[in-house]
Amino acid sequence: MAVVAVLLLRRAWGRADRSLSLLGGAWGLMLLGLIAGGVGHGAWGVAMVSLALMLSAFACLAVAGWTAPPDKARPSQRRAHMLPDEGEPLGLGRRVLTFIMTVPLALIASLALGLAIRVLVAASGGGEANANVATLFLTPLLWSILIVLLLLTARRRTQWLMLGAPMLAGGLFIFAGMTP
Amino acid sequence: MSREGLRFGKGGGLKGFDKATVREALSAHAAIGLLAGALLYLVCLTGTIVVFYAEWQRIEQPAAPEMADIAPQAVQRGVDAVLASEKGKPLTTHLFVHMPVPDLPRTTITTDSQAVHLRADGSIAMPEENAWSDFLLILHYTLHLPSTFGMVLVAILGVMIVALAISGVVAHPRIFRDAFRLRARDTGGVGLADWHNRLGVWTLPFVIAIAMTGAMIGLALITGYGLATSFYKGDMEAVYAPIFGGEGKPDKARGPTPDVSAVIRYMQAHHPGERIGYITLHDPLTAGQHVQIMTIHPNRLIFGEYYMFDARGRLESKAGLSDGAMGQQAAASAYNLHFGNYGGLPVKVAYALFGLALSAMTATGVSIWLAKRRRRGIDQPRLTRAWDAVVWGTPVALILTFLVRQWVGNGAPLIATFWGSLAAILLVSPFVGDGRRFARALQWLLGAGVAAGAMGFVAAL
Repeated sequence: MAVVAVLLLRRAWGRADRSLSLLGGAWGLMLLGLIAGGVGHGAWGVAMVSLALMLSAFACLAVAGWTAPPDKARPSQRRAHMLPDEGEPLGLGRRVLTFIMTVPLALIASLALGLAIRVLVAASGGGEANANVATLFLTPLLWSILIVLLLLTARRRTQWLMLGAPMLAGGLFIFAGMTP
Repeated sequence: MSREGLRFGKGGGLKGFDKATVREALSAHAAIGLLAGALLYLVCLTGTIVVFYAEWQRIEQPAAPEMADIAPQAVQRGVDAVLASEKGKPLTTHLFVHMPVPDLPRTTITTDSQAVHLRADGSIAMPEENAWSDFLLILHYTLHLPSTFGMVLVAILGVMIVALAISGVVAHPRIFRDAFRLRARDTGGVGLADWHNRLGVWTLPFVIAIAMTGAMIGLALITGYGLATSFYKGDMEAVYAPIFGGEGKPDKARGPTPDVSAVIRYMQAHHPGERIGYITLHDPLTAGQHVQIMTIHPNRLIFGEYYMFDARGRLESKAGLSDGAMGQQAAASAYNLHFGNYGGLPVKVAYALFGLALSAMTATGVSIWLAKRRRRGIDQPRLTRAWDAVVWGTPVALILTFLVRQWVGNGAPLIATFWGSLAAILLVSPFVGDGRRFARALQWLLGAGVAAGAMGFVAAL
């Protein structure tokens, strides 16, 4: 099922026009495959179906790479704006501040949110194990998302708000959770 | 993101991100990739190789006795022999018995001060010698830095990989639409970008799974500390007790030799469908000792289930990793999902393939950025050669450690060899005249090293 889904997706994305039925069929089959894996063998089944999906896609890619004609297309000229052009200031202070905001401060904000989620899960009767694991799993995920959001934001004020809001909300929840 | 925040263009969805957001996402993607590039590559490459940790141990010490199974009395004999060999020394705090499993069919006992392989009859055969496998594992876990700092740093790299995956998807509006388009023979820069983007999109579930689980495992030092400080009066053990089960209270008064064979017989009688992976003796030969069994469940993502016994082999408790709270099962699944040891060799091979793809993505990411600058007239040959030195020098340094291990033995200075040779390759790179020949020479060295390592292994057999 997973292999057929990948083949359908390849066909759908290879067309010049958009075929909703083909796309829907491909995604639907993929979803069905994952559900079947989950129903049959739980998380292990989902993992195995996912591996089969990715391996099928890799096989399609190998064929695409093998049959690709020699070409010299014009490559993308999109700039990443990582280093300044000649004459432009380096902006070292700005870069260092961005690093501090996205690495240590964003970690603190994510941890505060993660701990707040622990309070919420425990308070809603989710159990101690679920509550602790929620913090352990969600903190790195929240941190990754926060890093991207911070880096996509041009205004410093908005960035500070993005950091301050979870810290404040998390802090309040943690305090409430600690209070007997 | 535009000044007002994340905006969607006409049509919505990923394709609908406005131009400013896409531009900022590309900047973010490049910033994270360039900041962490070399370390990311090192962690991805070592992770790929260490997928075969069990197999490397077998290659490293081919003469160690192997067995499909071992009798309970034989394990007891081995435990008795190892404990007797440490008489007069400070008592070990833990004694681990690695039981034979399909990918590592060996019985090995490890204490605080030694590790030995057992024969099938339980007698001690020889010391365990897997310095290279452990060197590789620790390089992946901690980059050979002090353990806490190193694990957190590697976990941060995991977080960065997830951030790279998210920003990469936002930065490339056609990434899904072009998912099967691979202009592999294009030499003008498109080919490299296609490889980077296609491998990226098709390894997305794998990358997110292994990066998140890796980050979770490493960051647990910080999140666990946060949980302990906020809710458990600083007691870290109390954070993990509801998940993995708690440890018994220590009592250092002298105790009898624990009856490990009774524990194994109990498990064989009551849980025949579960295979014992590990036996851990906590505080052996003390009054507070207890025996912990880890059993492997076929066709499950969890690494196993823990059963606790007293020293006489009576069951005390079960942790509930296989059938307890959802959080327990999820936490127990994170390890296998990260290491790829939940489906035998086929899953390991798939993990190695995807790991190689992830390593290639980290390598090509920086190369794409350098090539773009070159096309804009900003040629940086030294930086390009330094990056080539990282990309090809790292596996060369790794294969060199493997050869040194073969030639010198288990006590070979592997950490010094690896970092010394990598540093030397990096230091030489700016002074090399021809960048292409330099990269080619490193590739030849790598090929020759792999061939020499394979011949050394055959000779050892």
